[in-house]
Amino acid sequence: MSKPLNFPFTALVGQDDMKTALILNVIDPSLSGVLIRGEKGTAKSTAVRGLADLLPETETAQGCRFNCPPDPKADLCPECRERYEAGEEIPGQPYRTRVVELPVGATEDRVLGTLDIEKAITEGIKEFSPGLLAQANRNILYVDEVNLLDDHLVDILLDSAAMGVNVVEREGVSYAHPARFTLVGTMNPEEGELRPQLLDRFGLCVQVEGVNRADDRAEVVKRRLAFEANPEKFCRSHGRAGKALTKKMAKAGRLIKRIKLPDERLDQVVRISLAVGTDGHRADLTMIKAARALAAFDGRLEITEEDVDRAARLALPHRIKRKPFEEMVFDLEEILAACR
Amino acid sequence: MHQINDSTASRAVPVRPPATELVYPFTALVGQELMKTALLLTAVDPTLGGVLILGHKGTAKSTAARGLARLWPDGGRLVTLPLGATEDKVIGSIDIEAALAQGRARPEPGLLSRADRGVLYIDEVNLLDEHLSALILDAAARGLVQVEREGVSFSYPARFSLIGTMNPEEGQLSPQLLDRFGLAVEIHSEQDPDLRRQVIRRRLAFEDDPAAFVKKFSARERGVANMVQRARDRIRDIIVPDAVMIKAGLIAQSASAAGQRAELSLIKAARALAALNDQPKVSPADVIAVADLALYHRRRQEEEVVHQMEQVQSDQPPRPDNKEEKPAPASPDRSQAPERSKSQTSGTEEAGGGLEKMFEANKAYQVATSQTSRNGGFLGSSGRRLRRETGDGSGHYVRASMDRLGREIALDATLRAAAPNQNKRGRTDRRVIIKSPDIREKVKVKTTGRLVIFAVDASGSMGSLLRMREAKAAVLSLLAEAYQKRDRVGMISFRGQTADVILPPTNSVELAQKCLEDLPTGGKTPLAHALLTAREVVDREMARDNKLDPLVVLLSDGKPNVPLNSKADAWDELLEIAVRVRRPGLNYLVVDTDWGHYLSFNLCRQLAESLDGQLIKLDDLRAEGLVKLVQEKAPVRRR
Repeated sequence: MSKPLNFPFTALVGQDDMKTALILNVIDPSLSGVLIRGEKGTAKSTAVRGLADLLPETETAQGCRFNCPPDPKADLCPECRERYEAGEEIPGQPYRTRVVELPVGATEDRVLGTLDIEKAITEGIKEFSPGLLAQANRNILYVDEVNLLDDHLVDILLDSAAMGVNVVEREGVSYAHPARFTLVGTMNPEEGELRPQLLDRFGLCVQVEGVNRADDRAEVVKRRLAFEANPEKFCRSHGRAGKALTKKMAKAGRLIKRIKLPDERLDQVVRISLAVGTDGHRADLTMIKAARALAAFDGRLEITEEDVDRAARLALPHRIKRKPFEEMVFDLEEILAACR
Repeated sequence: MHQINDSTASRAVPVRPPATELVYPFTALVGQELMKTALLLTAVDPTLGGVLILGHKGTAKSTAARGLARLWPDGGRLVTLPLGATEDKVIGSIDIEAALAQGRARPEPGLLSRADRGVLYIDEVNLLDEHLSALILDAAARGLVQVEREGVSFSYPARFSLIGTMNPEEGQLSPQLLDRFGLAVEIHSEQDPDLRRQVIRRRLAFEDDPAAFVKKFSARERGVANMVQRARDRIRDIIVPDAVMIKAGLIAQSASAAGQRAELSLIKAARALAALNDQPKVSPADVIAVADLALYHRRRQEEEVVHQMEQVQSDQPPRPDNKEEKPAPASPDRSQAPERSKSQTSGTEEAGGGLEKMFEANKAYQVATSQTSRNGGFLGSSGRRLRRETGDGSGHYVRASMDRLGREIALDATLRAAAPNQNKRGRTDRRVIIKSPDIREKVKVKTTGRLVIFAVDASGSMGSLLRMREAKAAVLSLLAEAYQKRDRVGMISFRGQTADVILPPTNSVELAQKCLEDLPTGGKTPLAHALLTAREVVDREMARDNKLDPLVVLLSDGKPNVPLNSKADAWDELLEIAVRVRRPGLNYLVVDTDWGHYLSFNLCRQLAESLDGQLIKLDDLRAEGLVKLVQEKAPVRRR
């Protein structure tokens, strides 16, 4: 049975901020993921799955439980390392980046991995049973309603995402394996907030509302119906746009290393974050990296003031320090204009 | 009981794969000189007891700690306490494999053994599980870990310094844990634009090519590492003159630091500094330089009676009285400034000179006390977040227990318990035989949340507009600081005939803003209904999470005039109901909003007593004071 087709990313109507944020993360994975805030039914998971389909095909080592690349010099799981050290030549097999979803009610052991109970009880051996973080390695981890997760769990996810490794010391096992993934979290702010500490760890943040303009809404429905009526045909009709986007992202990824970071742009970034009053330095780093990725996506070697402004709009909304006793009115645009 | 040296036990396996060993160099950190000094001092003299770094997110706390590990003398290591670590792995247990495969109970020291002669690094140390932190503290104090479980008894050396980081806004540290740290330093993000730019540049350079970046700083790193090693070698030879000892004593005393430890830390830190600077003896300047590091977390807090007792001494114009005949405003008129502009006084009110008398009499009443906090410092904010055992399966697994309470089974611990008995039980093949006495259950903990319900008198009495506005501001700012998602703030307003839940308990600022936009005032005062409604809301929330820490803040002038039962006397009924709505674990705080009235103060006092709650009087109801009060009141537990 073939995999069900996903709604094409390029067929999504509107939601440009969300699409941009996701694309930037593909271009520069060190941007630390996206937090998508908005009501239900705003095409969040559709967008993420659609984008995953546009990522280039890659390879994984055969028999590896952690999706390691078939490259002895890469950051490998203990099993692959052992195999290479034993002189084995591990063949690669084709692999598509996928979206790993965190199930509702996931427990810690399910996420981190734990002692393989079956092997322990039936065979009397101690073995590590990989969890979701193992599956997520080299993939996209999608966490719906991240604000409703146990704080501890969110901590673990964000820590692993930042470090690129999952270190397990629990329930009888000690184990560590690579865990490099792009984290995409969604939440409805009316149902609760994330701790600022955790918010800050998400690179970009976008607010999505349902599509508002009447013609846009009609277009959304039209396309959805067309897709459901004949998925293959619909996907084919968007195939070219999809391939173009894939190429554009790949080109941007290559261009990024050549883009210089001039003092003026860094100055602008620093002025903005000082004006906004963000805590710490992650905001600064994210802003400049996002600006760089935007320039790269546009095929340019120069970062412009506008790039920085756009980056600020994506990198700052969730890092704004809430000042007590004042109305939460905050005009980012004023600040951006002032900092040019 | 046997002592463990490396050879006999299964070595705790170093888990981090070598490829990720490139760490941002300590010497590449921009600014933060005080923090860097503190860390170096603790490397020079581990008996100092480690460093607590307090700061907001993204201020390079973890980076600094990890960077320090590279410079640690004698090849000591930095061991990070991983998130989700369970007790068996931290402290030690038996090797499950040896147990399962050979039926042997082979001791397996925990990861604390890896930290021996090095550093144990705990991120967000204020959120550490209580039980685990007690065990770690014990180890830190004794330099030794003793394990007694699963039929084995062994110990191993664990002489480590502790480096902990925390965000002060996320809760306090327990005093025992706090005291364990020799030095403490609070850091902030760099405000100077040039330095800030440099932070970004360096970080990006590191990310783009870690190996090259590390190489660039390797000479500097080596230099500092050598400096630290040399300092460590010489430290015992450094002279501490009497004058310096005395100075240290004086400084410690002036900070009202409790106990000897402060002074000791101060002297040791000064000595370490002298060692780093290649001095033969410690100078008074050294002591002054390190004073803040050693004393930051040890200054004694003074108890202080609520501020308005002092404000009473100054002249404050009496508030206009609440005249029942005055027509209640139908809708809030925001241009009004009800506080001091009106000059009406009623006959019942005491005039100026009587104020002193009135408040002297009031001193005899139970007035809530509050502890001052250092402005912005870590002891003032949202109280301590306790991680408590949950009985309902929520939370995360920290350790196993032999008590059979019907919780989730801890399979690893069960296996360990079963393992040594396999031969006895006649195990023939590889399958493990588990019997009832082996079963262990998971103990799970999670941070308890607070629940604060504001019950605000929105009746026509004077000042209700201001009261509502201040309460709203207090709600919003409490929400802005409700870091744990289980913290919730709700609001009930009462006026006319009923009390309404205008904001159901939430931790969402957005929802609060929506609900609190228009706050109607005017009408009579249905206090009894308000109490009942508040209690209902609390009950509902507790039903969902019985580990909540609920607090009801009642803002009123304490003069009910709408009873639930139309035949009853409003006041008598109110007191009856007040007693009825008590509940173990539920705290009440009555805020008397009617300034200057002996009568109302007495009423509120009686109400507070009936609620078995506390009373506070705020002459001018300002949101900041209210927020602080709530923050400080909330963690109070009733016995």
